[in-house]
Amino acid sequence: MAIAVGMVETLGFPAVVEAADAMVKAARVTLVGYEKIGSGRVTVIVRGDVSEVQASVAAGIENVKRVNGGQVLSTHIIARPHENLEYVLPIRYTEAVEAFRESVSGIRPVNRP
Amino acid sequence: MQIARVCGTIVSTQKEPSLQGVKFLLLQFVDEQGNPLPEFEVAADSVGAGVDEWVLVSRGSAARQNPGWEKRPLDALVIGIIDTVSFNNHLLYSKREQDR
Repeated sequence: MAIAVGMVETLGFPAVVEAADAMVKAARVTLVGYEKIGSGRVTVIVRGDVSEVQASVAAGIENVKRVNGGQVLSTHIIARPHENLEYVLPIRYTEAVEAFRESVSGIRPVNRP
Repeated sequence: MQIARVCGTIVSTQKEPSLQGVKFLLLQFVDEQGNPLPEFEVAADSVGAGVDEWVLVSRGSAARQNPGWEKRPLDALVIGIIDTVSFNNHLLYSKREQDR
């Protein structure tokens, strides 16, 4: 599946919530999950087209600066993850986010005759 | 300042390095009766607005008054998310009604 994956790891929960909010508001991506690493490290994972994921991750990084004490620890984008990853790592679309996936996928004609 | 409704997002990969990480929204302006105007604007966002929200937008040099944003080539900036708008004692828009 040629759907890019973007990850942002922050220190603390408020920062990761702010990052996730900015990420889904900035581009047409779907938040598929988060990972608690321990020691206050939390990672959010988004999926979508590669350009959308790039814009989304950049906005996430920028917006963590608005959080008091917020800190970005690491970020990464994989343009085309191997299918094997989907079966092992928690980056796959789940049924819970299917509604949000539909709302961002495909180009819908808007007010065009 | 003007009232506008957020109707979409804009994604650009190849852009000015100073615009890295800036979120762009597609806005449609709204008149005093709450009707959408046939006028659109791409604006940067510093407050975290989302699609379908009504926002306040500043245009021109006012869009670059935000600390840290002076050097960015912007001419429209979303500076606030609107909670309520009333016109002649009549509630034109309420964020809470929209959520229901």
